Amino acid sequence: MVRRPWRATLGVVIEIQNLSKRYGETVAVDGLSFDVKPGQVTGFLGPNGAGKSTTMRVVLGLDRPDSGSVQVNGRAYAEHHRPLRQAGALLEASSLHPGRSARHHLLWLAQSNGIARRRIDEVLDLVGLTGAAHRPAGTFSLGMSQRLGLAAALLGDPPTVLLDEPMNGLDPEGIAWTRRMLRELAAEGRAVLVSSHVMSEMSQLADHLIVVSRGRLVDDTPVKAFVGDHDSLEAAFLARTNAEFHGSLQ
Amino acid sequence: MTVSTPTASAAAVSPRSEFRLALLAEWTKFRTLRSTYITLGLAVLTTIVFGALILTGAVLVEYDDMSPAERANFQLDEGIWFHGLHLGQVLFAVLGSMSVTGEYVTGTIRAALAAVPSRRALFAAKAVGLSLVTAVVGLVSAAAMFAIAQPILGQRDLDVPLTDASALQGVGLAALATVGFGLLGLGAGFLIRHASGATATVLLGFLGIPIIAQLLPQSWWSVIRYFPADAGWAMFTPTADTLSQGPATAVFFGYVAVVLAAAAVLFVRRDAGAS
Repeated sequence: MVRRPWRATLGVVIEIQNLSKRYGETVAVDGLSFDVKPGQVTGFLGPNGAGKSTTMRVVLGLDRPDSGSVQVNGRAYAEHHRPLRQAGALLEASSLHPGRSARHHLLWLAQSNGIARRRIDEVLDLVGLTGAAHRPAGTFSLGMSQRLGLAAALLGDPPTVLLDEPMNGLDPEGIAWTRRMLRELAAEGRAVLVSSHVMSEMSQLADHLIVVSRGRLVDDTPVKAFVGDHDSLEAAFLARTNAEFHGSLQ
Repeated sequence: MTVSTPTASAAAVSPRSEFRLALLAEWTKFRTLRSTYITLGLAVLTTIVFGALILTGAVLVEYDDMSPAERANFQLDEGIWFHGLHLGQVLFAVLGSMSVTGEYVTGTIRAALAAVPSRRALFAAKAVGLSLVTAVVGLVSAAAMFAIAQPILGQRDLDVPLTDASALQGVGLAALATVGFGLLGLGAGFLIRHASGATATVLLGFLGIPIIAQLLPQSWWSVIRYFPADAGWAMFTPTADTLSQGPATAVFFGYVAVVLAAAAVLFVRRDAGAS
């Protein structure tokens, strides 16, 4: 597959500034700022409820922020007229109709953004679903659904890919496959943002970490620097978030 | 590979082509689900079966019981052959609400909004797409109802040629009302978003209230005839109790306009939701 070298022209791909979002009384994201850069996998790490999914939905314009701004390739995602060519997303919750075949799911998405039909075959092949293209998505295993979601995210051949907990529920083979795929996407020069609450996944996947807790930024650092002297990413995370917690009490 | 540089592809697209692409995508979504065909098939079947039953069971039996003097003065109710459409239109309204709630239930709405972030364009594409489908199916159903009715009524020499001015107008108004019912269902879907809640609302509004209204005293009809379903049905099957066709059309599409406007405003303002 031939790829375009976007990395030559793009420095920061996602730029989040002072983002806040609350749902009723619950503060989901609280003054969060960070950048996602091309050519690397950025791990978006934090416990459940830390605001990772909310942040991703706000990046895609699905939910509106209360304050702050998000730019994708220089402007708000919703201001791009063919947004699937700017950023592709695999959200945590399903966004597939179980009665529609994989091919038809990709077809309407492609049509909505003026993407050529042959690209559908390319992405189906890329994720290994060519043989299952005509089966209803409802008959897919979790791993196959995730791969179809990834195919949808890559449909517009976007320079930016966002994935919310893509490893959740996958078997070891599926996890290894996803990890390889995401590493490859980053190697092609794309910006890859992957959220997870499982620390151990990140140590083998991410180059850079955005660590959040209770809607706030805890750290924005290369993985190696984050682990530092600790035994594992997990130990480093617990040490950092506990320090943060005690700090907030004082 | 068809990728151009991001900035070039973003600049070259007008809002109008955004709507056209969204409409094409909506059509693909609509035609690639089996539930679409099941609901459409049920609506058409219901329309034809009930229409034929009303004509043979009610009109012919009633006519045969009449004295020769009564028969001489007998006039068919306006649009009598379209009565089967009433129930079919309730199912078109269900189809309209399902075309929205199905997306919220499955999460497809998130993919749709990520693909078409302009909520106005997406809303318009859904409303226009549904209207085109219900217009065609409504027109075909109404014309079929008319065609089926004539041989049945012909048994008593009560048939009417399609060239009759009121017949053609009836077919047109019946199709137009069908579009309105679909849009009211679509609006309910956007406002309520939950499949069962929206379907229940549609069934209550278009089936429950008219059934209850039948049991109320005649004098109440001065109010009941302004209810949505009764106004919609009066467009093509007016009786002495209902509004006449012109006012019925105005009242019914007044409801459609209000419901669609409220649905559009809420759709543009609300978050798409977590799941």
